[in-house]
Amino acid sequence: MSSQVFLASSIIVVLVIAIPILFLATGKLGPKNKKQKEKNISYESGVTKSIGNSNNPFSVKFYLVALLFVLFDVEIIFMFPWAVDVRELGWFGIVEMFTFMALLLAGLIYVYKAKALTWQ
Amino acid sequence: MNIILIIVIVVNIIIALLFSLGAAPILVWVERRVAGFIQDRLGPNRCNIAGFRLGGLIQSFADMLKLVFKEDFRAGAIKEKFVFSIAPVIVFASAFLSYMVMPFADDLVIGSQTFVMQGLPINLGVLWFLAFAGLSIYGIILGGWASNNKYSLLGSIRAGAQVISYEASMTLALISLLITYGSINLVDIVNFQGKLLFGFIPAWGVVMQPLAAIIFIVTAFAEANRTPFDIAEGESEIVGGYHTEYSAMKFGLFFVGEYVAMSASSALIVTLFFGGYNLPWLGTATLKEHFSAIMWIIVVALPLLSFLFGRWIVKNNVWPKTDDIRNKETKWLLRMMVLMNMVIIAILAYFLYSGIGVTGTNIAVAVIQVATFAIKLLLMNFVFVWVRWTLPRFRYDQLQNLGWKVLLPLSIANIFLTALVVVGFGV
Repeated sequence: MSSQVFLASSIIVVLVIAIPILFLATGKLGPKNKKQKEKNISYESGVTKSIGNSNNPFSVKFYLVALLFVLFDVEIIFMFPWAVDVRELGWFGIVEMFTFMALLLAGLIYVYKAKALTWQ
Repeated sequence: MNIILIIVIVVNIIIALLFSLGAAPILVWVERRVAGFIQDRLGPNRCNIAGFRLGGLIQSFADMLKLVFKEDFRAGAIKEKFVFSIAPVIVFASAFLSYMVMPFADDLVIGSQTFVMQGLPINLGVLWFLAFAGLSIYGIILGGWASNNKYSLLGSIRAGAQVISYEASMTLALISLLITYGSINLVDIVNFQGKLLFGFIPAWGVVMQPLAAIIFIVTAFAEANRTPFDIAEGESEIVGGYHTEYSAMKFGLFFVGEYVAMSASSALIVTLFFGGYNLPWLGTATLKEHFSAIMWIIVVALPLLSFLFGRWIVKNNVWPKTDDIRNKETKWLLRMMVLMNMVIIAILAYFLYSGIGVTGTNIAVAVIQVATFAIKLLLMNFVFVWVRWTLPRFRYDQLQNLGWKVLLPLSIANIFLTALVVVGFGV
C-alpha cells in the first residue's frame, strides 16, 4: 500500500510539472513578438489609451463575503471528524455539535439581520 | 516493488490522464455539438483528416493546433511576468490533481495482492478533492490581478467571491453525505452505494440524500465556473474576464483546466451520488460470480448494438454522389467496427471455451467497471453542457442570494436532519 502511494505520487508530481511546462514551451512555436505601441497596452474594449490604474480598491462587500467564508470554513473543519464518527459518538456528539452549530447559526442570522449579504 | 505493482500504478495513472486531460478535446466537441443541437444548428462538422470527420471531433484537435501556433504574447503593460505565467499552471495543476483520487473500479485482486484502483491510492478522498478544487481560485485571482487590466481584475474578484460563497454550501452538503456514509474514503463510499435499499433500490447517494445531491450539483457548477455561474468570464459584460490578456497555450492551459475541472466535478458527483463504478443491482461479487453469463450477453449484444449504430451512421453520413468523402468515411468506419467486433468476440469465445480463471475474471470485472464509470462520467458531463446552453447567466446579487440565503441554510438543515435520523433510528 505505502510503496504504491509513493510510486504513484512521484509519477503524478512529475506529470503535474511536465505537462504545464510542455504546454508553455509550445509558446515558442508561434510567430515572433512584433512590438507595437497599441498592442502593448492592456485590452480594454479597444480604447487606445488605458485609463487609470487597475490595482484600484474594490467594493467592501467582497471583503465581507471572504470574512464570512473563513468563519464557515473553520466551522466545517470541526465538523468533518464528527460527521465520520457520528454513529460512535451518538447523542453526546449530537448535543455537542448542535450547540456549536447553533452558536454559528446565531451569527449567520445576525449577518442576515445586519444586511451584510444584501447587495445595494 | 514488483512488476505487477508498477503495471497497475501506470495503468491507473493512464486511465486518470485519459479521463481528465484526454477528455478535454472530447468535452469541447460534446459542448459544441450539443450547443448546435440545442440551438437547432449543426455545430462543427467540416474539419477532416483525409475524409475522417468523426462527427466533428477533428475540429477540437484543429483548435488545439491553432492555439499551439498562435503568438504567445504578453502585453507591455503587464509588470508581474512570473505571476502572469504561473497563474494558468496553478489552475491546470489543481484541476488535474483533484482528479487523481477518483476510484475507477473496485479493489483489484491479482494473486495474493490487492490494488486500489485510483490514480493516487490514498484514503483522503473527499478532503483531497476539496483542497485542490479550492486551490484553483488562486490561479484565477493571480491571473486576473497580474494582467493589469480592469476587466480581468473584475472577473477574478467575481470568481473569488463566487467560489468562496459556494464552497461553504458545498462542504456542508458533503458533511451530511459523510454522516450517511461514515467515511471519507471514496472507495468505501462507492462500495456503500453498491448495497440495496429495502432489497430493490440501489443505495445511491441521490436516493439517500436527494437534497444534498441538488445542493452539491448546483455548487459544483459554481466551483467549475460554468454557466449559469460564469460571471467570472462573462464575455458579454467584461470581455473575457480573468483570461482577457492571455493568448496561445497560456490561454490553452486555462481552457483545458476549465474542462478538467468540469470533468473532475462530474467524476466526484458520479462517485458520491450515482454509484461510482457500480452497475445498478450488479455488485462486484455478483459480476465475478456470473461472469460467463455476462460474456455471453456481450457476445450477443455487441454485434446487435454495432449493427444498429452502423445503420444509424449509414442513414446520416451517406451522400448520393459516389465520390463524396462522407461515403469513404462511412465505409471505413463500418469496416473498423466489423473488425473490432470480430476481435472482441474472438477473444471472448476463446475465454468461454478455455475458461478465464480467477485473475482473468478480476481484471475483466475491473474493465467493465471502468467502462461503467466512463459512461456515467460522460452522461454527467452532458448534464453540465446541457445546463450551460439552457440557462442564462445569473446577476451577481442573485448569485450571492442563492449561495448564502438559500443553499447555506438548506444544507445546514440537511445536516441536522441527517444526524438526527442516523443517531435516532440507529441506521
